[in-house]
Amino acid sequence: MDADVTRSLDLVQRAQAGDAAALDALCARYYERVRKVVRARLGAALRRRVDSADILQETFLEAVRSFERFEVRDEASLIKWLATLAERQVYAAADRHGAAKRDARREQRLVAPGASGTIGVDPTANVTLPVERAAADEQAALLEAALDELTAEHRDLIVMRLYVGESWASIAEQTGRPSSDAARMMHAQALVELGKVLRRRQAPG
Amino acid sequence: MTNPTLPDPAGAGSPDRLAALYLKALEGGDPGDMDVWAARLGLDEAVVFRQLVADAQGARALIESSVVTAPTPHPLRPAAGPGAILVDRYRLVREIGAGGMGRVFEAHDLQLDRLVALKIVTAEQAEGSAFSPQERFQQECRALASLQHPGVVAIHEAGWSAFGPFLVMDLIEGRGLDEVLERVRASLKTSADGRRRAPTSGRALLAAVDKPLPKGHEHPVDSGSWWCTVSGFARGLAATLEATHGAGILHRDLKPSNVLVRGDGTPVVLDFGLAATFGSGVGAVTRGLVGTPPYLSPEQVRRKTVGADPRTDVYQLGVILYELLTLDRAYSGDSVSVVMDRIVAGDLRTPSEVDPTVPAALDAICLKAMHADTTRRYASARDLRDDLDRYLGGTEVPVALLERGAGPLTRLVALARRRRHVFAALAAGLLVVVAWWMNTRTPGAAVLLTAARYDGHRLVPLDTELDDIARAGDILGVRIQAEAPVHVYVLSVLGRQRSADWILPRKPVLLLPTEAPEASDWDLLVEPAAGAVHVGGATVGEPVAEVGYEGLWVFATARPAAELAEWLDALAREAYLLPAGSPGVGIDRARELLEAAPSNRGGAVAVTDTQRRNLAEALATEASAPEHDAWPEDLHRFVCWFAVQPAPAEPALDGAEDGAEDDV
Repeated sequence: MDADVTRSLDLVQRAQAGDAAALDALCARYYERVRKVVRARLGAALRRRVDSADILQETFLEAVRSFERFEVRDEASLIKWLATLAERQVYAAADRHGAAKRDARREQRLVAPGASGTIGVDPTANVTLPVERAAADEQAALLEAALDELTAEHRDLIVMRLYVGESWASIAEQTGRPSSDAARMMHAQALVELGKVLRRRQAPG
Repeated sequence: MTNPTLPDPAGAGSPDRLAALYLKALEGGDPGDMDVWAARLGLDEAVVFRQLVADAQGARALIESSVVTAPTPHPLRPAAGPGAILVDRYRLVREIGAGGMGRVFEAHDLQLDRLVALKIVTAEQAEGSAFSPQERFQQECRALASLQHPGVVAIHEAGWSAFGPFLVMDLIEGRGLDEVLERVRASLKTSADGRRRAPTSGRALLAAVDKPLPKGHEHPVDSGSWWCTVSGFARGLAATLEATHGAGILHRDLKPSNVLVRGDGTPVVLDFGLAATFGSGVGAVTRGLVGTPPYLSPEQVRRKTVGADPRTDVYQLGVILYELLTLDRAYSGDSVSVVMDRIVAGDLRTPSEVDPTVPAALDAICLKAMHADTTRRYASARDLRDDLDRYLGGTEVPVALLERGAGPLTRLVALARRRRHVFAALAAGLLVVVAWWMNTRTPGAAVLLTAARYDGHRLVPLDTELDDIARAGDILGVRIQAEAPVHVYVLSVLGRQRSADWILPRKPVLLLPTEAPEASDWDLLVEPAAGAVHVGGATVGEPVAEVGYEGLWVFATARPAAELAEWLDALAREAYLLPAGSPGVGIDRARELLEAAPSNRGGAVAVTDTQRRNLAEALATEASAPEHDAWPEDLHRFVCWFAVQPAPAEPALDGAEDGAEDDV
């Protein structure tokens, strides 16, 4: 287990023991990374919920609460776990919102990554973002929009490898590829596709 | 030649598939020559293949720069704002600044009823600390509080509040250097050639600060030229680092926004030691890189610095000096990785390339401070301060420009060669005279060198103002007045045009052991276009066709001619033996060689401080004189170095003369 993970585990444990500074550090360390992962995985409609006031805060508090249930292998697994927790928060928030606005019947079908199902979301909902970071970052927006155009499989591969930093073996296992080599090839194809989309989106006109 | 990772032609398939295969091979290490890959496809398809690979790599780079990104405001902590009270003692009045480390407020100390500056640290805690963040934070603060230095803001208290760790400091009336620089930039008009030139006077700095003088400081720092002012400012920073380093405190995040400029133009450094505790993680490393080029040292970029290294601070001070000199950032680029690559490679335009009016000595000091290789940097803040002191005192600055590898010198040499006709024409050559007296055992035997202008008939001594010398005419000349006979040697050198930090000796075009005539007042005239030298009215040199005239080094010494010839030979040999592209032999090295000569009787000694100061000032004034904007951009100036040693009035002189004639 590398030093980063050891340090992170140390932070989690200290946070569980009530050390506010450790929780601070943990958040500062992973907040942006987790946010990026979650945004990359979610479609446009859900993406903005990631930045709504309490989603990620809840995520980190939840992480500290449920840490015993998490088996840390490496930093990627920690990021992925945090991202999963965050996504759950996003879906839950979207569900609550959907239920409240069910009558409006403006649901949009969204496929959750790695799962099938629909989630009700009101695209017209006025979600206030505490910090409109994405808008300030054109590149991030461009990237997210490009990722949206990929197939879910390609997108997942890119997120797993480049956002979360998972190993090829782990990716192969999760995506049902026969080998690391196969996962690498699939990932390379996904990158080629992403490159094409980005070129098209950046082309003048 | 077959590449094992390359699929057989039949399997290559579409450009898409080949691109994916190539990227996959790239992932596994070296995919081999891309051309070999592309050769598997038709011409059109090969183009598509290359495009696909490039786009995919671009996509990867975009993701990588996006994932490693700026830290965000702390998600769990309440944000402090005016009105909030910390630890029942400090009421925040207004926010006066925000930076990487946190937000700074003017606060009212309710207990002592005074205004203080209060910083709430929001940055991420540093990695790998044996202490908890609190412990370490307070430890650093204690060290800092024990240090009293005018360049360090005094710390009154450090603590941990609901809003995060905080620091209580003196409230200093000043302006952040980042803002000051911005204001200076805004105040400048660009010259006709579209270039931005540094302000003429150091007063521009004070005007940009635009704050009242601190109490007890009736006068602002002496504001001479811009160069003097900014080097004085950098000197102040170096002295501050010297003091803090001595106390075992490093800064590690020195940058303009961490430097306050007081109303009198003196610097105060903020956030000492904080970088060690906070914000050396990924966030700090990449913060604001795009659009706001960084002040990270190469070793920080490479994450190599594990232990404390004062040279990192020296580097960052160098970057600040760079910005003061050029009013531009040292490193910028479209992406994080580009900027980081440049930092590590030391790939930057030298200050004098950005603005040719930057004094060569400051150029060299700055580059040495910013050297990508820590071992070739100033070893300490003190060394850097010493050189700034030398510059400010008008003393020769022994900066080893040689260390730069194929650096600015090589480029300048190339320029000089390209512009030979300009040099030869000498339409408005500028003569700057730097006198360099060798130590002598015969004090009292004075030699006076005076730069002179050739008016077509005779040399007119320029003994009035250095400014006038700077506008010397077409032909270089020197009036030499010696109480005792001296030998004069003339070498062809390439010299930097403004100052004289280095020379590049060429094959000596003329090595003229010229004994001063009986009359100890005579002229030395060099006619560059013809390559001729006249001494005392007689032509003593022949044009040397193969070596273009590009500069002049007049050397007068009483050293036995044979020895001198040997030395010159060594100097030239060294210059010739240098690998292609290396910058040549610096004046320091030349002097070293000279001093190492067997019968050396002493080292170089300084001319008077007044002379140096005058020269430094004249250079600076001249550099920023507005009329120079109209000068051809590529017209460089000439520097003459004069090394003079009166010949001892001893019988040995005869031998020296003989030797001189034999050897030359």
